[in-house]
Amino acid sequence: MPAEIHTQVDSSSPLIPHTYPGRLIAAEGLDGSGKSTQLQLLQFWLQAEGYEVLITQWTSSKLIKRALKAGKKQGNMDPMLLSILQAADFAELHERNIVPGLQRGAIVLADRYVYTALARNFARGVDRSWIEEIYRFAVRPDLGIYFQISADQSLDRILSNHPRLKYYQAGIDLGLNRDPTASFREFQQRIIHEYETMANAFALLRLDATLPIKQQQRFLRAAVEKILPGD
Amino acid sequence: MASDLFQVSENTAFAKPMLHPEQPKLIVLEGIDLSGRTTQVQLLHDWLAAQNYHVTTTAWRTSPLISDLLARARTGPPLQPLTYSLLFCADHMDRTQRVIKPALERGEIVLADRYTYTAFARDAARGLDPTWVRNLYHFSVQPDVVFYLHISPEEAVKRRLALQQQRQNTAGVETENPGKTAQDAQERKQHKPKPKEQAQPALATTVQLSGEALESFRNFEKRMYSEYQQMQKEFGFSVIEGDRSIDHVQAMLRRAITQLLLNIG
Repeated sequence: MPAEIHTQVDSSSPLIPHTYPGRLIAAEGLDGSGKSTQLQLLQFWLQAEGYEVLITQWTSSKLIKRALKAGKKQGNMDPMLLSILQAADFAELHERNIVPGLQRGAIVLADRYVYTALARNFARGVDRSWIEEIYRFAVRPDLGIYFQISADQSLDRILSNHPRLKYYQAGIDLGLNRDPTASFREFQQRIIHEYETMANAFALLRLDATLPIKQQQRFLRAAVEKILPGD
Repeated sequence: MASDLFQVSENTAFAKPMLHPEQPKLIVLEGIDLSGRTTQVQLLHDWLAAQNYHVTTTAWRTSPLISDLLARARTGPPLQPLTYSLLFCADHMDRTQRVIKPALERGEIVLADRYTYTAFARDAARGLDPTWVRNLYHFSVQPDVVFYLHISPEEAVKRRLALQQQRQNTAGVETENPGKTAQDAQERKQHKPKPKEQAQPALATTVQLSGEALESFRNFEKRMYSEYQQMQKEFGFSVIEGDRSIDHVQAMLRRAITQLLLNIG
């Protein structure tokens, strides 16, 4: 019976498993959930174990930044257009860095992956099947981790580092609320809802990101160990 | 009213097209490079405008937001085929929302110089999954008619060389920014491993093509041609022989468009 459930999860995933010698670990969660810190710790550990490690970050390239800025200025960036531009950025990262890394046999630690895009696009009301189908070019991670924190915790952590919330981060393009903080809460709440749904559908591993750093790392290493090649 | 209508119907189709004034139509011209699309779109525009139709033209890679981005992408290291595919889709999406849909809602005739089929052909020629590409464009407005200006890949090569010769003769000096061209060629060489990337033709420029570059242009047009031939049935293109004179092609287009606007055929 568990096998049957597993098959169901597989068929609902929009992503296709890879056959490269490397391993792909994707970290997902709200800003300030501690993904980067944990990935760095994983990197040190894996390198000490003799693996080649590649950390990738999904940030807006210079190329699309101008378009995003223009959309922000005009205040009319269409959610579908935004999603396509982000997909273009991700496609470049995927084809140029992630896949070659996996081909070399590296352990690729992705600081945000497809699920981030899906969660944000869904939260912006973009057609689900359309965008899911677009991201089918991406390989399925061997391990996907969802760093769970609340919108308020995310907000506290972001604001302790940066004085201001970013336009798209706070979902201001959606016109949810004039107050950036309120808009952020509402938008992130939607994203959490989408992450929760995907965590079930795509078998993402949930991690309580409010636990002490060391404890989280121990939990992660145990999970990573299971999917390492050659053991 | 009735007498007006009667009078109109007595006239030739060309005389009073205002019979159906507020009738939005999306008319697409497709075809491989140098098939004459742009010239024909321009002539159709003038013809329709002269008859008091409100006409909007839109061309591939002209969205203010994205065309700039695509231009800048060309100066950097070449992007992956997948990335280009998504950026061209962004261009089409932006024009769909800002140009095509608003014009149709105003009841205008929209003439599109290239449409989604260009993306279908190019992306397939570059090795992307056709089903994936078709899904990508599913937000697009369904055209009322797609004219496929049919020329052979050999004809495209012939026209390309003739154009080159003509520019050379008139300009005397090749002022086409040779430094950039050489740089482009070098970049392409450096990124050799992917055969898909080699086949990007220098569109609408007068960059000298010879030897390997000409061969690459020919091969790319061949691939595009075979994609268009396959799509012809899938999407029910209206085929117009593009190797006839400009006037002849224009006359064929006008006849078909007149029928479309009068709702016959």
